[in-house]
Amino acid sequence: MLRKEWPLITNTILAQLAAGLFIFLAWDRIVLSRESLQLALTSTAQGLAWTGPVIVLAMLLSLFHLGKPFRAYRAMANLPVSWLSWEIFFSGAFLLLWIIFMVFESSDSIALPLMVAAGLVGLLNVISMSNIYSSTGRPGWKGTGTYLDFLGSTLVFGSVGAAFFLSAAGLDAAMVKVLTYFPLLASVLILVIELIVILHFVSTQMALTDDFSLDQLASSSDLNEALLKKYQNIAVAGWLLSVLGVLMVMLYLSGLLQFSLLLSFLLVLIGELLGRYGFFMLVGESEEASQYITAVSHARHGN
Amino acid sequence: MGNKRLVMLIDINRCIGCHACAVACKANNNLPNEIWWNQVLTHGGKSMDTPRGQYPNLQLQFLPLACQHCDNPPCVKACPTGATYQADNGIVMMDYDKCVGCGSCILACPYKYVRQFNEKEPQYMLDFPTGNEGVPAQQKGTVSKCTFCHTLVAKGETPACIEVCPVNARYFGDLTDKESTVFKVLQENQHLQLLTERGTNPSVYYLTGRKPQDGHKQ
Repeated sequence: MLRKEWPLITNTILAQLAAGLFIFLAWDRIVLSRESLQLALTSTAQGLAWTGPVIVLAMLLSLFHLGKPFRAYRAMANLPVSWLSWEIFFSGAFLLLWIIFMVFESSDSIALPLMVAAGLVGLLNVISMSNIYSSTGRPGWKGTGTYLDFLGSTLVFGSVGAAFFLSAAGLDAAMVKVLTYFPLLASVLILVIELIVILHFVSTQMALTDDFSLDQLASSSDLNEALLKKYQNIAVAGWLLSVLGVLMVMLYLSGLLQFSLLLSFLLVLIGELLGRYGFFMLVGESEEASQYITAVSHARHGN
Repeated sequence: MGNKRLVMLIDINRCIGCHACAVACKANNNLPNEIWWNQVLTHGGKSMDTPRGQYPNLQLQFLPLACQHCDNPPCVKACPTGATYQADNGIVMMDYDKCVGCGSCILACPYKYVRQFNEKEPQYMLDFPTGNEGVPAQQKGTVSKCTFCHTLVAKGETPACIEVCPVNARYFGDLTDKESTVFKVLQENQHLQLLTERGTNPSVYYLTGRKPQDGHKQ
């Protein structure tokens, strides 16, 4: 990895958790309000209340990535062109909308447009952070791979998180199934596509590692065979945990398994964290430059 | 960008891998111990300065590499604070006072290790600063990189790596000036830019050999 990337791993995961949870629970509240406004409020309030602290935690953790955290206030100065500036803007806007939403939660006429706006901003936040990595042109991140990963995590967290919080709020299991079954199915589908993309990417890159050109020597993306194998192992392990978590929720909602949905939620969280760790491994920093620096430094120090 | 386009030419057939350019860069810019803006990578074996292949069929070449001062720099677009910017003469610059150390420029840069992160408070082997007057001080927690020795260029001089090269493998000048050495050398030589498919249009050209002359046997 380039530097210690754990703040970015946790920041992206938590931001996607907050966005996914908010979007799906907001949708569930709209659907449930057709039955009963009170039922809609009581079933979704707890989950929606959690999304604010989650995005705050995501933003705080991202500060640990900065070399100069006290200059973080400058980070929206390049909004016209920088996707990172946009990500920070949307994170802040999501938090602001969430606060206003919480204040006016019981007023349906104000809360509804606020929910829609916050959900949209949460989604734009995920798209902005996808653009940061996708636009680098690095083999592991360019194209649709990053969008699939980040939007996929948002979907998985949203569907599993909604099922967990709706059940925890005491909503009837049959009703939870009606609300979350199709999002859970979509999550399984996205995860299957993600696995195909991961395996295809690794096999394609493996075939390229024998290239010996000046361009490859100069490229900041050095995906050697050992790194690719390690990435594949970690990404697949994370994928298995995520799939297991989603399937367990589906079995629970079908009445075939009885357990705490918190376990599924935690499995998905760990799975997605592992997958994101693999994602950041694909920065592919070469060891060669480090060797250069070490070698020349040793020579200068006389040892 | 202004009317000038400052470029650097490096003749990779002349480069002998002596690393003098790397050291001159380090001294002129008063770089901390761990920071090397200018590197000479080995296009050969897995370790530095080693060839690849089996004796007697060995291959070894050097690739001096620093910031490519791209005409279309992705680092400028990635920087959230505007700390990375492009000067009127095309040089891609860093304002350390604006840098938050997010590393976005490092991620956006397609070239290997040309930007470096000051992980710790700058430490030096010498107890006095070296190099050119006016070189900005390195700061902990910020990213830094080659500036084409902008303080020397501002005085009408050339970057430190040009002067020190013992085999005259490097040239520096304004490519828009048709009377300049760089324009003429580029016209006369086959050359390449690195990772052109990334659309960055680097300002560093690598000379790979003389162009065939009309009427001359090759």
